[in-house]
Amino acid sequence: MRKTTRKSWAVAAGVAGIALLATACSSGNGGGSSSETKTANPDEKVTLKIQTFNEFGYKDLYTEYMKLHPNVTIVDDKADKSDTARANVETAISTGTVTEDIVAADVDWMPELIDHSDFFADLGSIGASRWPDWKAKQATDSSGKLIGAGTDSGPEAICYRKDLFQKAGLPTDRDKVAALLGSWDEYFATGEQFMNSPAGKAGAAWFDSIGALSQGMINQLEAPFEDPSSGKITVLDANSPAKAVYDQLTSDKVLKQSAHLGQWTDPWTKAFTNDTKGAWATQLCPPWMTQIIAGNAPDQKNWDVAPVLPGGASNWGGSFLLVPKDGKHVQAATDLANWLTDPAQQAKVFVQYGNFPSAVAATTDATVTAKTDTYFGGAPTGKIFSDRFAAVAHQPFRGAHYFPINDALGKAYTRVDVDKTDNAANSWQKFETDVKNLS
Amino acid sequence: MSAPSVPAIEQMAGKGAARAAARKRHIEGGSRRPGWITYVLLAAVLVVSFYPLYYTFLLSSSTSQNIARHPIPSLIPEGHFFDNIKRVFDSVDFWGATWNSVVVATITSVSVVLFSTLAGFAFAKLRFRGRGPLLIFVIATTAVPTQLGVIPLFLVMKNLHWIDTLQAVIVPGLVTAFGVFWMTQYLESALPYELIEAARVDGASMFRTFWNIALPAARPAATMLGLFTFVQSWTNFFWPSIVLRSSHATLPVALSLLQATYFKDLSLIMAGVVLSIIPLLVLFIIAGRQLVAGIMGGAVMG
Amino acid sequence: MATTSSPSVPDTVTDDQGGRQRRRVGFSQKLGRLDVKLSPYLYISPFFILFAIVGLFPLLYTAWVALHQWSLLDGEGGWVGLENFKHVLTQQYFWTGLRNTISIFLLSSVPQIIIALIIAAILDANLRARTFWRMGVLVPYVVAPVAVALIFRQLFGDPTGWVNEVLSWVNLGPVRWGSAVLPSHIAIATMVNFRWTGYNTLIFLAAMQAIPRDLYEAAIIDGASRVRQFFSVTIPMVRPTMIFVIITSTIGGLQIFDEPRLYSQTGDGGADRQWMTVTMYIQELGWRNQNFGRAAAVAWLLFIVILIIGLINFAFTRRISSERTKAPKRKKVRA
Repeated sequence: MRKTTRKSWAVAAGVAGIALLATACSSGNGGGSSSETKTANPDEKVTLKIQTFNEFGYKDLYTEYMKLHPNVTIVDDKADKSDTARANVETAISTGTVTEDIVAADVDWMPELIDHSDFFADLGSIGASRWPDWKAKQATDSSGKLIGAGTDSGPEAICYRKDLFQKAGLPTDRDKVAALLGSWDEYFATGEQFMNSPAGKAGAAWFDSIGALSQGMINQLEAPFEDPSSGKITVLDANSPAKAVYDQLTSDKVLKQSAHLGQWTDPWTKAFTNDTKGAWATQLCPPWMTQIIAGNAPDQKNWDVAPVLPGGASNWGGSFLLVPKDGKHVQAATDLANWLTDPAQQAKVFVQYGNFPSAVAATTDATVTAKTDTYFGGAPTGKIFSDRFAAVAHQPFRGAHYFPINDALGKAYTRVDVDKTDNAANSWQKFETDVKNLS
Repeated sequence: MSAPSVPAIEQMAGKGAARAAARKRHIEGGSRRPGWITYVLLAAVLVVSFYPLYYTFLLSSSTSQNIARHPIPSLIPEGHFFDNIKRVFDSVDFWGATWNSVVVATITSVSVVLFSTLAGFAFAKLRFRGRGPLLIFVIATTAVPTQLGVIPLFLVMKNLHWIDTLQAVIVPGLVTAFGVFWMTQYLESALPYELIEAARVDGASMFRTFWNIALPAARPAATMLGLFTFVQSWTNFFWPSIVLRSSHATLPVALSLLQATYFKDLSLIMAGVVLSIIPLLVLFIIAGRQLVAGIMGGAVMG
Repeated sequence: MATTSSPSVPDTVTDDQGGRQRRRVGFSQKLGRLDVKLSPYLYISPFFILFAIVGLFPLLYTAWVALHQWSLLDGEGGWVGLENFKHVLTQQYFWTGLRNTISIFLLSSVPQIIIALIIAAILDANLRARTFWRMGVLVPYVVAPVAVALIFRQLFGDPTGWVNEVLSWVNLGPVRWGSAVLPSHIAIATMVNFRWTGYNTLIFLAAMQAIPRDLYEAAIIDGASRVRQFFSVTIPMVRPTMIFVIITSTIGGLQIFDEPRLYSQTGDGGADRQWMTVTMYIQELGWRNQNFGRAAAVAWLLFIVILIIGLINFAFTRRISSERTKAPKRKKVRA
């Protein structure tokens, strides 16, 4: 009898792990994939989990929405970075798990999700006409199903340092600067002039890194890496336009104008506080970049925005909200995504946080176009970006391999410009290897 | 040498007694106090240990602007520490995340200590078929790269419906190969057979022997294992960041959100680092004295 | 790998399986044989049960994946046999990753163990304010790797971080911590050493505390200096602990991930893979390139590399321990 008791003690200890497994089993709630009612009942208590990343500026909007819809509770599952969000979403897809009711996705990895559009609900009910064609196209699969509701966008302008321009004997007026930088050839010619000026001689550069410029130039191509009809990788072909961009950017003439600071690195972030030495005069500037500049160097009062992008208007970045189709509350989630991307809300976010809208109606909204930015010398940033937005005609084709190719290309530029571990030809060879390994 | 030598005691009374004698000697023996050079060396070690922490504190009491301007901050903190702390509290559910971390770390360390001691006792002192190969197997499992397991482990968690719950983080860490290896290693030498045999002769069951003899004997190593596991669990980032969503995350995952801005505010991020260290430091200061005393009280792995 | 051979194992317990069994049964007649037979298995079962759930399945699953063309999102794409392994092994990146891993591992483990031994020996002396010093060395251990990386990234900033600033005082040019191979490895190894030296010190210290003091007394009578005592008494006596530390730090060191990943903002191990470790390569293949099959193959290769190095360790340490233990039949747990 005693022995049995002891034995059961031992058993208890030995299998406590299993017991824990068993009891915990019943309490779990994640990963449920049962699709209940598909209509949003206004009285039904609903908890919606939404995963964004970086800063979507939704905090106040969540509160507002919950006030408007007392039955809805919004859980803010923000991820720190786009990479984390991408890993989370793709883990969910690859294991067939639904962890969020709404997930945000960056345009750079949207193509990977579009390839798995059956994982997501059709948001056609929101109406693709809310966005310009190029934006809606980024979230539409081959069968015409809209899976993403556009949030922000990144129409590009040029940010520039008035003090450095002045030192270099260049004009400092926004429109005059814009007139000076109409094409990439003009941009680099002005850069050469700048480098030979007192400003350049005192250690200022023309731009931060060629990798940063590449982003802008690649976004102006029709099909930088892949063939739009077949999806085949074309970036290594003989007449590849991306290679032409690469050759231009890695030429000695252009490299001399670089500050050799890789974008987003710690030294880059810190260098914004430099006065002349180690500083740079121009920065490719989507609206979200203005926030970064202002945040990195709050005391630097000389930045301004010129309404131009060399080589023609383009867009850099922007995100979407997607609703996994097997979520518990697809309709309620769709309603929320619809509301969050509504022009009225997009305008509010821009005014409060500076994330530029992607809904056409929001970009012409009076509160948007009226916005000025004291940090940028009182520049009418609302008006400038609204015009830049209207001028965007198309966006490059992004296929399933866009993200890794773009990443590898960025590394190729870094090797030449920042790390200086390779010359242009060697670095391109390594890029070729990287790309070939993708298939 | 009037007292019998330690080996002699060992011959007569077994290792436990020998150890006790050795310890007694250690205390009584009163070997010479080391000279000042030793203290200078130790002080240097502590400066190296503490400066990075102090540096973190300096950054957290500064602004990102000043950090960028002065690579080497002055040793006197600037006055922005509490502003930055407040901003951390505004952007992160600090208390919720801390609570989650406490739950995870406590359950994990208690469980690891208990199960590892149990297994270590069996591996070190009990005879059973397949013991050698099984122990090797346990150690070999630590060689499995964790990155490899992410997708399949996520699948397991999905099927258990544990995604985004604390169990998903707790359960995989309930007993670790490291712990088993550690306790086996320790009990091998620290637990004399005589004690086990004595208990068995008295009619104690295996489990009672474990509970009354092995567990107390294992205390020093168990304390260390408990601390290591607690810290390990507290600082764990990779797997929790994958399986937990930020609304009920552990502390490191929640604090990573401080980087979720377009521009990186180092003073804010460093304030988060300081906040994540403080709870452990407090625990360490409260428990540390006893811990160090406990560790040194018993011998570990002679 | 339990290498300890306590010199005091009573003769009653021998290595002879049959004899022992008989004896155990003999003195525990009042108890059920089952208790004796089953208890060991019961006690080790939690580990194995848990491993079966959270360890074994992933291991087998990945082995299966490694033999297929397998995209992260699309799933299985057909059996390819050893093709993934072949591809990866003929790629330079795997070898670059292995080089970086081993380099960082050596730069961290070797100095770390040596320094830890020395500090432990100092702490083992009859110090004033002993507890203070002992706790002091363990402080870095409570800082999360994520935080350590953030801190050291600032210190090793390139070109104008703390370290370069100090180096400039003595007219040493800025070291390219963020782009050159060896400096980046040194910076990463420094992070590892910062966090783990104190931890290993404590383990060594605990082992040193268990050394019978008369060994030192005898050495002193023989006229041995402190240094001499360290080499001829301390080191041999803590050898089993050293072996434990070496084995665990080898296995951990070859899987290094957090520190190199967090060493740069992008987390990719450098544009030219200057500090990309094997585990980071797994991450890149699986997540960036979405080639789960190849990622699994690399994971298995790493597993095998660790096992091989572990086996070398094991063989090596077994020899040391058997050399040390003159008496026969002292081995208890052997494989």
